[in-house]
Amino acid sequence: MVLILVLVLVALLLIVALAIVAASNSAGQSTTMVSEKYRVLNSAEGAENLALNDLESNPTEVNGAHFSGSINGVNYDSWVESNNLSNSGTATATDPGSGNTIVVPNNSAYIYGVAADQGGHTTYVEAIAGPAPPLALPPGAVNAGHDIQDISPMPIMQSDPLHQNNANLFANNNILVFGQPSTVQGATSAVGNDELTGAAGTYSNQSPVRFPLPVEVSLAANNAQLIAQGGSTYTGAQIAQNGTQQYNGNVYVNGNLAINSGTVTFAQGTYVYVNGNLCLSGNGQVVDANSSSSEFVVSGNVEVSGGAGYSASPGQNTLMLVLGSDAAQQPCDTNNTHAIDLTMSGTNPIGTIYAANGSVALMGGGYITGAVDAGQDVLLEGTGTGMQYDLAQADTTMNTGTLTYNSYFEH
Amino acid sequence: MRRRQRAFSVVEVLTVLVIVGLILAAIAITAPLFLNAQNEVQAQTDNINSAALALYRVQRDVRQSDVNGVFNCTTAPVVLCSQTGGNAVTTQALAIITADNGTGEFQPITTGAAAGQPDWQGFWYYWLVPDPNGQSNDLLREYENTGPINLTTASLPSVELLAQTWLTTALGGSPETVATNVESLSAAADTGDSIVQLQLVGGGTSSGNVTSLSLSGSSYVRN
Repeated sequence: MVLILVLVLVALLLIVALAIVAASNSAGQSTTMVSEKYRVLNSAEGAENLALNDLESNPTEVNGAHFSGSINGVNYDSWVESNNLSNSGTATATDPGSGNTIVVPNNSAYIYGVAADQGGHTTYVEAIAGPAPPLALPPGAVNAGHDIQDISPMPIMQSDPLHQNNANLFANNNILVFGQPSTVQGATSAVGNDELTGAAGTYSNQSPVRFPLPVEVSLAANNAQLIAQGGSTYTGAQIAQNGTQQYNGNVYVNGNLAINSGTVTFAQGTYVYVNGNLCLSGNGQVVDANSSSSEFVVSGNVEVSGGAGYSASPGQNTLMLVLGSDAAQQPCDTNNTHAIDLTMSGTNPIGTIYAANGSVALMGGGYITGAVDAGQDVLLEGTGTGMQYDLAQADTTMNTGTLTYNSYFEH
Repeated sequence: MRRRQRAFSVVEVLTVLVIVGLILAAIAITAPLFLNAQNEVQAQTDNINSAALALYRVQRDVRQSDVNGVFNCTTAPVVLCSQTGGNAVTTQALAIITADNGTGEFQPITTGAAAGQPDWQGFWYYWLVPDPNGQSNDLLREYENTGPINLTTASLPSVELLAQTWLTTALGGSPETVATNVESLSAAADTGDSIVQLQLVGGGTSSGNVTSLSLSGSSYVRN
């Protein structure tokens, strides 16, 4: 009888244990289901990003390029289904999720990533990708990421009589006046204190203007370098030795470009990249005759002194992007300290000059047209007829060469 | 001579019966507690699962949307939609612009300067209604095709007005139930960073057990 009772007791305990195990298992399965959905989605998104990265590194990737792998234990497949980046007409592709026809617009690509869990739940993440929009610089005649220092009276003039008082100045810190103030045919504005009177108003305590982020500048510079390297390559010494000469197409200059005589002209291209410093002295001239939205990138510093000059095509969105920073002694002239030291002489259109990581000092007695932007300070030290705003420079942009999702969708 | 086996005495039998009775009583008392604990876990899991799946659905629609087309809305006493930034705030309904034409097919623009961009077709709506027991809410979802919406040229008030006009239609439609036992829904759209913050507070009674939980997350709006 005791044995029977013990057996009954054991049976009861087993039933209780089984019930507990069954309930725990059910709860666990429910919780796993949601996390599995996210894991599958993340894997599919990762696959799509892989296709985008592939297109960025190889814009002429073939249709149907395919990669596969695994993210967090979930297998994925990545497809460049239709690469229409280089074409001006539309293309078609088949949506793998629905089987319907997708119209792929010109200058874009249709890519997707697909992942599935072991239970068969399949997620498609699809996108139409295209070139990322170019980076815009702030409009106006002068923009400084820190201070604008008005050191000597240097007129900043409007672009033309039809656009009265449009030569605006903006400082993300202060606009400081150290002597007789410059005349400004536009508005002066500062995030902090604005000491300079503008014909269109003087505004302190304003919201800052946006400059491209350092990572964006880096992307743009890398893009310019890659494209320039796809053109003609010279050393700086070669160009200096050649003297007056025109270089057509995209040009990559390796090393410092130091010109003290003759005129070096870059034309019929879009990108010039100087992998070093640009030092112009004596009567050396560099002419960026590339038109439209061309970019002249200098990885180091820029100095223009004496009777030398730099000029760009007038009325174009020409950009000189300078990556060097301020230092106690600059390589071209140890007496100078700014990323760009521009001693003006004569009359020169300069386009937009942009010292992304440093300051710009405008000096001398010349007359320039264009726009000036600096990540740090802009120093107005000119003693001549000054600077005239070129309205076309309000549209200055930089291409990053990256792709972005124009539209993103999931199945 | 075979020795006669001694039987249990009455005292011994009674002692055994008392001990067995005590053990059974202990099992009877403790087993429901064990089983009920699992029911509580299961109830919580059910609610977490339901809320998590609902949040997943909302986030999925948000990801395919445009941050300038996500609005917090009221359903009572008046229908009103507006863009809400900052931290997530409680809302009765959520309108999410979509390029889905209602069949699950995403519609991109195919010609012109905007080729490749989403061709917005309507809104996905989510809203809360009290459940039949009046103890919590159900989260409902409904699609409304408004016709093409150009977010680039349309003013914010005009899109808000469009969202609230079609929300009225959605409220009278045949929505699907996305989740039950939802206490509240909160959202905010950060147009600067293209981030939509969402919070779903779930709770209610499941298997006789009352539970409450809060799920939240930020979704990057991809379009």
